[in-house]
Amino acid sequence: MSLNKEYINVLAKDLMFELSEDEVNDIIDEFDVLSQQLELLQSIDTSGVLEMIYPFEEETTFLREDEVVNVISQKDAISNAFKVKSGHILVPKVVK
Amino acid sequence: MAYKVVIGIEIHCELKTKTKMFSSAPLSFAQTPNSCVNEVDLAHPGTLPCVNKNAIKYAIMACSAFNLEIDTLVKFDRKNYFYTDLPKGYQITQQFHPIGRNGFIDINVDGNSKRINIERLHMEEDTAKQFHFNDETLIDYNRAGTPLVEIVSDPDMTSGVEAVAYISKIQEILLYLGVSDVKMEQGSMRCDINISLMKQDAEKLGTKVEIKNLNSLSNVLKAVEFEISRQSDMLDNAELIVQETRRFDETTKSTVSMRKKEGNVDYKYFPEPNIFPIRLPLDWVNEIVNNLPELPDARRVRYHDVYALEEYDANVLVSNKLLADFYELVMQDCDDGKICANWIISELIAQLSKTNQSIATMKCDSKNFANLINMITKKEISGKQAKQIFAQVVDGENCIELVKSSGMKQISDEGAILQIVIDVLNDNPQSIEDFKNGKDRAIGFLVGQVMKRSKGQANPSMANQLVSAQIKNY
Repeated sequence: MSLNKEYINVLAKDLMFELSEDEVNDIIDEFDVLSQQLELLQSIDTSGVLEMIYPFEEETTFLREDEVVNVISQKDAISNAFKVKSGHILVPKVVK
Repeated sequence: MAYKVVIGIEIHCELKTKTKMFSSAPLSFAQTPNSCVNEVDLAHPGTLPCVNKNAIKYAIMACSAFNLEIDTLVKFDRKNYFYTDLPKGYQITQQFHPIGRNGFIDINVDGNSKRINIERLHMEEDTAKQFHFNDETLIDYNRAGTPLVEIVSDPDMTSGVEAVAYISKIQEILLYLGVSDVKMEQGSMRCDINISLMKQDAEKLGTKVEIKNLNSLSNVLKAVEFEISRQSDMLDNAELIVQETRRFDETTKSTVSMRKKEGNVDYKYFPEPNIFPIRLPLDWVNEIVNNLPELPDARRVRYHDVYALEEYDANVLVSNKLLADFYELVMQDCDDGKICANWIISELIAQLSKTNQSIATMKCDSKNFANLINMITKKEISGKQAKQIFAQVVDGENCIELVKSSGMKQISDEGAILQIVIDVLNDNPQSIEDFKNGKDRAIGFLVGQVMKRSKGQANPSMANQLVSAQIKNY
């Protein structure tokens, strides 16, 4: 599958990203590599092989008891955020 | 032109567990932002989800109450989307293996019962709460990860009234199960309504429109009725209905477009690899199913059978669980179910609404209330006297002491009333004469005299009987 500039811009618009010309080019280059790797995988014959979701198809019965065990402080919770405001994580508005 | 209306409803309900669906952080409502979270809710690298036993239990209870077939192999899937309300970049849900399938509930509209089929009930996690301002958005992750059940009906409803009946029935059942607060105004229960119109003889369903942002039952009714009339007008004018999501606008009482559906969004669902399929032990599931709390319909029947309540009274009580629970507590110390129900339904509800209180906040306990009802049924005080002290009783004052201190105890001792009656008759020969001349209202005057002489404390119906009986002796 080829990824062209127009399609990247459509995706960027859908996701409300603003991409520069350079960024678009970077993505296309990166995707080329990815795409080659995927094509390699695609060449493997998987007919008759069932998809594997888990390393071991084991059923478990474990369920966690409904007890509070681990809570982190507000300070820790927002410490990774780029911007915060009144205890909230602040992001640019992306909905209309 | 009249069209056939087709309505299907999706209901999201937050479960009332202590902790999140997949993490051991506490649930919260109106807490300090971002204070009820842990690394799992915030999707820190290396964290793994771990399924909450109680959330599964509550989902099983709901499935059982909605007559759904329960899948005892619990599996989860990922719904992938990129948005700030879920930091993982996906929501864990049950796309391919809902815990419950193919159920139903019966609703009652205008005295007629109608079965509404439920396609599925599945578990998932709630998202973060976002506050949108002019050019920025604030995120509070406290709600992220809260256990939800989503209940999807078949498109079996045909009017706003039926939609409301369905939602309130689901709400009532979940409340009686004790698995959710089901507060629409606080968002612990959220409804999305799909509505389409088609010509009476058409075979193909019309284009559906989804309505969101419905925070009360009355808004559901208004929104559906508005939408039916909007779509009817469009079809009458041969306009094309577009598939879109609309929201109910409270100020204009109308629905407004939020977004047009531009093809189906592809969420790239796939099985959640971080949660192994969980086989629920059958005996555990059976134990849950066999020990469900009493459901509202069963309670209505019991109120009729045990307390001899009419359908209307039973309905008023049962449709308000707090009221019904209070009624049951009072009835532990009280014999007359009918009189007790009357006082709760007419007087108590009115008094609470007048003073802006609720059953949960009022100070009167059930024993005190039962004492008041017992004094009425034993004719120790009259209904009129009970009304005089009712507000104080509801405010928590001891009704026995109130009756004593105000000296209002009703005289129901026949001997004591008889003595007063004889005195009154002896003092009022003219009234006896009037009665003998056919003036029946003389009785009323004499009873009034008895009441006056007893300072309003004589049992009025006994006074009436005794005057009517004694006057014949003169």
